[in-house]
Amino acid sequence: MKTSNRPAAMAGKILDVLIDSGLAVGERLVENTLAEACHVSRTPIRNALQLLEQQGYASKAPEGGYVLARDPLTVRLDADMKTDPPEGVLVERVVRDRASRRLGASVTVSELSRRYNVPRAAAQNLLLDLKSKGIVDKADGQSWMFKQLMGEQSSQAHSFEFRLMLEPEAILSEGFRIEKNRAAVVRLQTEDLLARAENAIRLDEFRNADLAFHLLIARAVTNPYISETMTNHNQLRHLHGASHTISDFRMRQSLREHLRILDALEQGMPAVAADLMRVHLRMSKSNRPSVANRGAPAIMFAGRMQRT
Amino acid sequence: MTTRKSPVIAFFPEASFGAALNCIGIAQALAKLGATPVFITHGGFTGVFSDYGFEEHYVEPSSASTIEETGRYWEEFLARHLPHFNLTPQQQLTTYVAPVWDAIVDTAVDLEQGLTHVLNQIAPDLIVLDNVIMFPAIARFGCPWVRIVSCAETEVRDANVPPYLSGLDPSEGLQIAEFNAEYLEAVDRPHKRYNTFRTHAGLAPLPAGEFLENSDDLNLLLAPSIVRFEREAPLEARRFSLLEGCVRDERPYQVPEFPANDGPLVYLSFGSLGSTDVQFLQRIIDAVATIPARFLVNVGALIESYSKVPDNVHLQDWFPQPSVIEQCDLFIHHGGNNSFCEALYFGVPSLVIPYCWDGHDTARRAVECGVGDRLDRWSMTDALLQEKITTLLDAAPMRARLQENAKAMQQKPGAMTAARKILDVLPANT
Repeated sequence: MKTSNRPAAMAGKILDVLIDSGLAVGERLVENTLAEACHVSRTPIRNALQLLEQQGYASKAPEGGYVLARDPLTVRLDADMKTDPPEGVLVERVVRDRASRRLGASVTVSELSRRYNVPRAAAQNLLLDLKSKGIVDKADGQSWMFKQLMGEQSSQAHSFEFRLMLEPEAILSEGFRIEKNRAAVVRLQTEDLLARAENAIRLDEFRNADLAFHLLIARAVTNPYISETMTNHNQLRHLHGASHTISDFRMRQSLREHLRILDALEQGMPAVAADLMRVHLRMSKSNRPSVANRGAPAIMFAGRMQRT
Repeated sequence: MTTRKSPVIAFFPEASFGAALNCIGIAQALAKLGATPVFITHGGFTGVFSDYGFEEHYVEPSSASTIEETGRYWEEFLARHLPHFNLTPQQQLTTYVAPVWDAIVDTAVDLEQGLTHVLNQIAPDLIVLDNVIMFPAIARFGCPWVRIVSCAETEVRDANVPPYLSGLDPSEGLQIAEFNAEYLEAVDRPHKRYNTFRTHAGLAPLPAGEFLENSDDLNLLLAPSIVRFEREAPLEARRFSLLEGCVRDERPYQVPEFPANDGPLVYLSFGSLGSTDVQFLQRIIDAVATIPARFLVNVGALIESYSKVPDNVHLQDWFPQPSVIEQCDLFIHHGGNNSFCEALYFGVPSLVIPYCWDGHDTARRAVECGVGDRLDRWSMTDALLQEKITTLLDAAPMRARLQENAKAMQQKPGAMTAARKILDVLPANT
């Protein structure tokens, strides 16, 4: 599917490769090497490099091509570039519209084509993409049914249960190894947010940092099934569509928990890190009452909802 | 009581977001002044205060029912009472107000033992109660206690102030007398039960119709000057502090992108109680589809019940309210005192659609003081709703006056004023 966000996604992948390779500022960004590392042809790499130039990560070399202009380890990664899903904008709009109940429980190609003003083929591809992300299923006839979105209460509860089973155990799995360069970036990103003034961390910035941390853990797992499952689930969680709010206090607490887990891993204490991950996930299940108000016998209300 | 460097202030707010978040604002200010605020909370409300970094203490009820059973009981209670929200204040006296007072008395009785236990554990230097009923454990504990008047100013009676929950005008003498008589009759049973409980707990009984006395030390009212009543008997300055709003610090809210992303921003929230009335909210959502404005709608936990939401509406289960109001052009709410005061604090007009309780009083006051408009559920039509919203969005003189007033309110932040007053009440050796 063609969307305006593809170069951004590819640029994000290139930055990942650069972080892993430890390339220094001023060194050449070789299209062939990057294409090989990203498993794509040179054309998308070229488009992404243009974007990286606009973002200030790359600059044009006098002899042609690009060189690395900023050390990805010392700068906070561009939030949009790192965290938008590859097919970004349109998928996010669909998820947001479904989360806000602007789209019904089932949709058709024609409906999406009309609503988002894209050709039928693009709408068809969009649905296939949503299916691959576990957001819709093909129903009988022309319809596609939405599954429960991650932002919905019951899904959140199931997600926490799933992550509690998986993420602490993943840390203890054989061969688990954090990539140091990537961990350094996540740490910088986290510390940068924690240094902000009270109430100055935006929700999207927090969510980006949260995703980066949990993807770091997922990538550190050598078992490909576990790693892929964790990666997919965290990306799906990030794409939940509903703009939930989290207090400034909880954001900071959560970011500090990330740092403590990284500390334990870097100090060679995976068992401690796994325990801290368990605590972190449980702490994230903050509870809010679902019904309570003045004028009603609120003091006995006990309905609760799970929140991220 | 032990003497500590940092005085421990125990807040016990009613389990409603209005009271809870109001107390959080004051607690944040107290923490800045070096005190240690902690929260005493009911089972169904844990997590709200720790989310803001405060210590929570859970009160164990005496009854054996589980949280799930209690939750189910209240879901049924609400379902039974939803139709009563379409009645007038007077009609609600027997259908809604009396059963609610009954339940509140049940709760006070049920929590008494657990509350005593928690207070003994915390050993606070001062207790702040934000509720509509006295818990004898607080009065008996032996440290000063502060009352935050939970509802509109009408909760503190005066000859020039219309009766609490009546939604009447002070000049409507005959109707006032009739309302007062019906109120006393309707709440007679829970009131007698409550007085018996008080007497057994060692407290003096309260006059007919009253469930909470004023504190001898300090009573805080959220009653900004712009909507304050001219009282026949002014409140004693030593014991009463009238606050210009009491707004907590909240992270900035990022307004989401709407598919129809033009026009002024309207925030609609009927509180958690109002968000249980899905049918009514869906009706409003459908009705605003044609208005060229963007609507943020608080639908609480029941977001999954909505369908065919228009492109100019965004639903969310929870909003950081002060930050949202600050950015919006109109606030449609149920007349909760906290919501009303926050609208005033940020200079935003209110369209009050009351459900029950003091929402009726707030609705009348919003119109009387020219800070908004009202719409009654029993007479609401889609056309009338659309007209009121459009008119308020176009009301430039009202907005200008409210913005001017907001500047004055923000120069006297109520949360910090309340915190300083509370610390003044502490005994000298604390």
